[in-house]
Formats: sequence, structure tokens, C-alpha cells
Amino acid sequence: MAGFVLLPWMLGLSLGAVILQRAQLPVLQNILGGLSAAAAGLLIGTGLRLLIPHRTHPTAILLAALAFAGMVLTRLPLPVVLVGLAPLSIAVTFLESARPR
Amino acid sequence: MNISSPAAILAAHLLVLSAMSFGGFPSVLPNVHELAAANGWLSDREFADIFAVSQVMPGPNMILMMSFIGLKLGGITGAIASALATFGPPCAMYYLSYSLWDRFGEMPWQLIVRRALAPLTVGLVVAGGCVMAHASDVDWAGAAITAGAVALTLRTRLRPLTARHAKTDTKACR
Repeated sequence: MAGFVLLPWMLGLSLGAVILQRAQLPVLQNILGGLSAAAAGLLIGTGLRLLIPHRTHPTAILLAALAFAGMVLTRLPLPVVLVGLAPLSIAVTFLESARPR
Repeated sequence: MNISSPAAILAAHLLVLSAMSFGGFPSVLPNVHELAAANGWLSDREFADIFAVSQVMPGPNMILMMSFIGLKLGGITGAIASALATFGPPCAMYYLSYSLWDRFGEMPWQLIVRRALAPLTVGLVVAGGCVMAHASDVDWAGAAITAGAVALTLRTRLRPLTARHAKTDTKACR
């Protein structure tokens, strides 16, 4: 474990620190700006793709929207969002699975 | 490292956040961004730069990203504290759940809990992406790149490299 995590961490940290020290250079500013914009888009896309299996399921979409709103719109801390929504989500899922189809 | 130093405050927050990071990396981004912005530790630009550098580095990205913030706040001690606070709690939970899995893995409530958490994970991952987009997209070009990346991820059947971040970061412990 130590070698598996420690070595990449040390390499990544030192290399990254060198890049971040020079982040003010215009050429690096352009590269890093583009990279973070693309990486942010990939995160959003990945999240939306995770929703695809649930797309016919209105309650799942609503719960996903509530979790999103809790984090981004109301800016609540993650533990608050989870403590509020996880029991609700589990209760809804339980009731739905108990209901005869 | 002083107990009330910025690096110690960051590590304390990370200890709690990492233990709850359903969906991994992205789900802690909004809170860490908020913390850094509220304390004036990092500008949006610096936060986005750190995010970009950790994304292109091979290896444990989330641990690295939090280490860069710790490094900026408290030098190498801050970096080590952030790294430990980021992967310690998920590691402990991973080992715990792994040993409990055999006993409870087949029980019906297990399936319900897993199914119930899935939509929440979606919301958290998209929220993390939106916070980073907000911090990175300072001009129309940035917004266009983000929109293009979203479209590309949704349109292609190829699994993007970053899809691994959607999994939990406990993977790093193995």
C-alpha cells in the first residue's frame, strides 16, 4: 500500500508544485484554464451519465436534483445534505420496493 | 503545525468530508471550494489551477488535489496532513465494509440502501462539476470547452478517463 500510494503522491506533488509555482505564466494560464474547464465538463457529463439508468424513475431524478440543489444552490455542507436526503431516499426506495407491482 | 492554522482547519474539514464522499472526488469539491473562498485561502483561479493540475497527474487525484491546497496553506506538513485526512477515513471504511460485506452483502436492505444512494451520488457529482465549471469558466471560451466536454461525455459510448473519479476514492487504499 505504501509504495502504491506514497510514490505517485510524492512524484505528483513535487511535479505539480513546480507547475503551480509557474501558473501565472500566460502560456500555463491558458493550458490550465482549458484543462479545468474541460475536466469540469467531464465531471458534469459523468454525473449525468450515471443518471441514465434511472431516467424513467421520477423519484430518483427528484432525489438527484435535491442533492444537487443542496450542494450548489443552498451551499449546505455535505454531511447536512446526506443526513437530510439519505434517510428520505432509503425510505422512498423501501416503500417502492415493498409496493406490489 | 498550529491547531488553529489554516492547514489544520482544512485537515479537520477533510476528515469529515472524506468519510462522507459518496461519489468520490467531486462530492467534496463544493464544500472545499466554499471553505477556501470564505477564508480567503485561494482565489477561484488558483482553485481551478490546482484542480487542473491534479486532473492531469497520474495517481491518486483527489488526495493530490487536497495535498496541493494543504501545501499552499501549511507547507509540506500541511500537504501530508491533508493527504492523510483525505484517504484515512475512506480507507478505514473500506476495510470495515469489506469485512462486513460477506455477512450482510446478500441481505435485501443492503440492496435498498445501495439503490437509494445512487441518485444522491448523481446529484453530488454534477454539483462538484458545476462548482468547478463556475470557478474555471471565466470567459466564453471556458464555458464553450465545458459545454463541449459535457456533450462529448454524453454522446460517446467511450468511457471517459475521468469516469473513475465517480467511483469512490477508497480504491487508492488497495
